[in-house]
Amino acid sequence: MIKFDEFELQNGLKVLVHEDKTTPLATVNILYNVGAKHEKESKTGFAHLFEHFMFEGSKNIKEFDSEMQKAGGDNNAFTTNDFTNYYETLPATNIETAFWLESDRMLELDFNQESLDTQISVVSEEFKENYINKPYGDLWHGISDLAYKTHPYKWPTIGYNLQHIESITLEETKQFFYEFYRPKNAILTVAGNVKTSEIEQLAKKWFGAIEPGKANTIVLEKEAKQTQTRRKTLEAKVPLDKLYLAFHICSRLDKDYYAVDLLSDILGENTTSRLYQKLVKEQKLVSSINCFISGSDENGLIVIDATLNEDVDFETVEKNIFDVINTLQKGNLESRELEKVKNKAINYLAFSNISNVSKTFNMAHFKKMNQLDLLNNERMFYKEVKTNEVLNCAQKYLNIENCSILNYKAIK
Amino acid sequence: MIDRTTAPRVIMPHFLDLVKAKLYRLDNGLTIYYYSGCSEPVLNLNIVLKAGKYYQQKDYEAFMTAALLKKGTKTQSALEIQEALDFHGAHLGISTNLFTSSLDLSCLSEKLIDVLPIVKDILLNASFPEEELKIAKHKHIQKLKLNQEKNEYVASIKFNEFIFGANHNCGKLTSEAMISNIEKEDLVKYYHSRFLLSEQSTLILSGEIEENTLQLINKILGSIKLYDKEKIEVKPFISATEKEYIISKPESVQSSIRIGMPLSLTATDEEYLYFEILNRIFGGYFGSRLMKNIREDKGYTYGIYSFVSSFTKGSYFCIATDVGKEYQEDTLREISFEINRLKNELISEEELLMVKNYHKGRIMKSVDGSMRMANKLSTLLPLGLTEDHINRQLEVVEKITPEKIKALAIKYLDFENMYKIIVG
Repeated sequence: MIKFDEFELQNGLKVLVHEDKTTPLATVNILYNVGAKHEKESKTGFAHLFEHFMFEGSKNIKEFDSEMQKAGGDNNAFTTNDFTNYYETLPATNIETAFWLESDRMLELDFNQESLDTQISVVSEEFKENYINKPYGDLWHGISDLAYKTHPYKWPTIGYNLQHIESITLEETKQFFYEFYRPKNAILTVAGNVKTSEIEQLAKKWFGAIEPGKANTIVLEKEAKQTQTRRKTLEAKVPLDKLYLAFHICSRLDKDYYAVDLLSDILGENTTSRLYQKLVKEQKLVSSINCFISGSDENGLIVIDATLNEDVDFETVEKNIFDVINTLQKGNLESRELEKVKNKAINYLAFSNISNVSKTFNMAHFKKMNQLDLLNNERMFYKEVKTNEVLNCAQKYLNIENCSILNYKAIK
Repeated sequence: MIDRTTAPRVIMPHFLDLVKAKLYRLDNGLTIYYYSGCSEPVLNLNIVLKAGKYYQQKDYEAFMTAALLKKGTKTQSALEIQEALDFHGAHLGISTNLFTSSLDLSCLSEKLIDVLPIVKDILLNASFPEEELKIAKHKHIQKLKLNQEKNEYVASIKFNEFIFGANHNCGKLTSEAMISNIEKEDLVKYYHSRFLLSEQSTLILSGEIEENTLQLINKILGSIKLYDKEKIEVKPFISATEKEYIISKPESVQSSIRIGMPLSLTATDEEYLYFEILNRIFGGYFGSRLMKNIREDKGYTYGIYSFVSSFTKGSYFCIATDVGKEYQEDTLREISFEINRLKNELISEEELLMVKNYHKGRIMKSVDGSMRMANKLSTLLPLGLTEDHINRQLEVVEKITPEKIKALAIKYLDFENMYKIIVG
């Protein structure tokens, strides 16, 4: 049970605090409600590049990282399709340093061309390291582009290509900052050896005078229902063929979410899953197979990925995956199997709630979605999922018409 | 108006009031080190065995034994074991390093009674079924093939080979043949000589521990007969005499670089703790000199790091990065430049203070909470260290001076003689 206090500053900054007296440390997290899905299609990768730019100095502070390190702190950030998140952990005695630093970069950045150029170069190397040089690195580019035709989930957070990133101008970073990096569009969460009264005072002192700006009210049009199977083949110099199947599913807040998550575990969470037992153990068609959900805030994907054994063709693997799906859809699900995946999900949830870093992030994320009760209720929601709900989801989502199929072919 | 130009006052602790592990002795003489306290009702049990790659008689057997440990016992199949673990929501990870292997069990506290018997069965009765071995071999060969396509993998293992020597168990490169040559008998032999519980095994427990938790563990694991494990003296390694390994791949857009050397230090030496701080300054954190120069100023890379790694009887130093292919030479030049700067100039008080505080902050974080503390202890005990080591690290932070750092750089960092590996 995570206890927390909540308040809002006059400029609209939302603040949540979790007091934990068992640690000498404190974690501060700021979530900005802007992610890759809010980018223009001609400037993909913007939100993520901007995340890098946030560390390049602010109005009164030259180096964010050095000041954080001087206070014994460690910081990081990540960008998703849905939001951008910054966090730091430092000795609780130095928590004011985090407020000083985070508030100054919310106040105003040091917009300078040289820093922007360096970060464009760094992000280009990140792009090369993870998406070009790595075997299968462009897989997710292929899948999202196939599964989404209109919704901006069709591009990954790193961006479509290097050219988009290289074309970003200083003027555009300014516009982006004043549009999205304002108190009204941010959530500040704190966990650790702190008092709410002390945090309230610090928040007012450091963030109170920042212009409120406006909340991000962009509402994206939902991806139209897919009615026909989509197929794509990519070729690359990789050791083995891979097959990807992606089906559209519900959003993070939909009532189906927990059932779909359990459905993905039944199919392919690990070696006792149905797909593994059938295709790896029994039929020896693939060397590995997994099923997972993308977990995005808006309508996401349930994905099956398989690494094919040599001399096995894509069609055979695809057919046998659908056989496993069809068996499940016909109502073949024992209560013990459901209980198994529930227990796994609950165990995972418990372990992922231990650290204050994840507590601050979960508080911020659920606050962004206006669903703070999920912070302590998800365990119950998993427990309550019924057999027929999982079966309904299997029937509703795992259809060939709703499926995007990527054959990733190994060439010598 | 508030003054935004001056940093708030920073207060760092001089020492940590560490919670020490409590000890509990099982009926068979095994000791459990434990740390209580967790905000969630969960437990973690870590069993560390002296069963690493070092002790192999045949190549790859340590790795494969660990990989097959939960793939069947005398009475249960791989599927039954995994089903039982999954059904109770538990996770059992098994890993192998150079000198140790470990079983890492995580579960809800209430499930321990259901899953610990499975761990016991694995520790007593692993059966290494032929069919599972066949699947595993196939899988490991595929994985190896994939890894061999990755520049960073090739660079890392080559570096390892240079450090430990091509004929040393810890340095040998893995080949497809090594994997396919493994037989069931090899695994059975290795299991019996290294994996059974002995007085040298270490058990560390953390999380929500109640009185009956320890009694429960005693009831299940306390009756296991301990084996007299052969004490094998760890032999020193002989590092390679050649200094360079450069493979150019036309299709790569980046090159993986590894540069480093063995150190004549072990983790028990005080000087090693000083060297850790030198490493921090040089490449051991985001604000390090290498990062500032090569990533932040030049943009040659997404990241560049250096680290020190220690093990029984030795340690080594390594610089690792992936850089844009066109920046290979520039990167080497800048690394050399930064080494010379450490040898020729005294570090400023301001930079040193930053590193000291950052270093302390990292140490504090690494022991925050019962689970991190337990994890820390599991890395200290095999090196013959205890929790006192953490406060010794903090003492060294207090004592280090700019002169000491310069002297260390001169003594240990010889760029010309370092191994240089470039792939891609």
